Amino acid sequence: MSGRNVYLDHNATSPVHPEVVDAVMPYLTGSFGNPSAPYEVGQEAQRAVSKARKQLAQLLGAQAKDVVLTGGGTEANNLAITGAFFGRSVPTRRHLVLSGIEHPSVRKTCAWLEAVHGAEVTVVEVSCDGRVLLDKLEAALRPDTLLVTVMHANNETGVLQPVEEIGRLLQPHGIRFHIDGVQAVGRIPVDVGALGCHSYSVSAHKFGGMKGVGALILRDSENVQAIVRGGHQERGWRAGTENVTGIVAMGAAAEIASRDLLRNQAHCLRLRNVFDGLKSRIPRCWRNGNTDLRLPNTTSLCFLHADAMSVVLALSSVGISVGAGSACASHTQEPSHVLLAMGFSDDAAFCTIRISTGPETTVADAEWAADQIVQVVERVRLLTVPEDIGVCGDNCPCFANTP
Amino acid sequence: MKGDPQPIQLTLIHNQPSCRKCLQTKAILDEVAAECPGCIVQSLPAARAHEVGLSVVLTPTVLLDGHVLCAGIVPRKAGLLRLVRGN
Repeated sequence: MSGRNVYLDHNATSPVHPEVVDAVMPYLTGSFGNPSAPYEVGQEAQRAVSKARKQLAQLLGAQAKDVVLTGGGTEANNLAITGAFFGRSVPTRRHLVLSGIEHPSVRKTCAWLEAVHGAEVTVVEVSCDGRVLLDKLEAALRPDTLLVTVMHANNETGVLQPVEEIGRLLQPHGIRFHIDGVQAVGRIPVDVGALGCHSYSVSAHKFGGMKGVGALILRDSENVQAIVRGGHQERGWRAGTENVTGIVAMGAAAEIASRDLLRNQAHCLRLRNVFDGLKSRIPRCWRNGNTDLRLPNTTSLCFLHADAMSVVLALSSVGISVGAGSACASHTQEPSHVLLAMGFSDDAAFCTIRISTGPETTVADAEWAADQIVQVVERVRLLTVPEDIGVCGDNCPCFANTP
Repeated sequence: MKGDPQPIQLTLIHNQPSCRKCLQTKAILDEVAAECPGCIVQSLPAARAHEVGLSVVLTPTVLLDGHVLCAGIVPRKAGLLRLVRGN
């Protein structure tokens, strides 16, 4: 083992920022009150939650009153979609439109509404560079379209979606527009007012906050129904005692992201160039997705005939953490739906890894990791039988979790 | 003074009972070891993968002297021979 640890999977989660840890400590130790309680220790927690709400709103160009604190990005997406569907004023308006590269929290929620509650769902194609095709999206709209939901930046390729254009396109039709902003927040400037959306999802742990907390910026709550009931919290939009520590952490992370955004963008772009450069160092390698309209921290690379799970685990054994473009579930290996939607073959999808950096990644780490990737891909290619890529064994439980 | 050369260790992490891929991989590792003097094969059930510093593995996983070479695939024998022989 090299003894070196380089974490390059910030699109999965990011480390908690050291300043966030400092901000949270008082709420883990002394200030433990329930924000709903009238006495001082409770009101202290209430003030902390209010402050965090303002900090997040400021990062996003939103109003604090529009921030609905949730248990994460997945819950925020669920609230935006199911809340709009169940709260709709015209029962016959039940058509939902989404892109083919959405996160499962969007795809599966829409699929559930279709299977169980009579929604009709249209999935819009993306281009081979991973951008939603506006003409296809426009063609998908119908008089009964209730909601269009598109992500701001894709989690696998980092490709930015034409959300401003979609907002402008939908505005005259009176169709709700939800943006899943989980990967964009803290990495690029976001002004929800300029995007023309009705709601926008946020997840704290993607930008230096803690897991299990997020928000829905609910700019237009008319005809939206709460999905978690049983309490007055979040003005009835999300019942349940607030996760004060997580919320304080998100607020602090938002303030830090706001302060450091331009510097972090420039830094991550420099790192991204190191990984984009692998394309010219490794034969039969290509970089996936739009070159320019992309998150500054994300590079998706396909190494043809190098099984990605082998590459990921071999890199892990030398201390490097990257993401794979495929998911492995019991008895099956599934190629990434994002890469398939972009026109990839299953084989190419099974040979794709995702590298996503963060502010604490150093240039030296990136250069060392890039050198390791060159070596690992060469080794894995020596061992990979192309026909076997993505093929499971007989009745083989793929992942074995060990103690 | 030159001591005995360190053996080259190939480690297979497999399911128990082994699946087709694990069995094929074991056979290839044994063949490689037979052709490479000083190469030994260790088989480890996935439940004991932590002994070689892995917490989650895709089986079959093959390690060469503690470094993961491949996971979830049956390795090509010719490639494995090259890596073990160091050329």
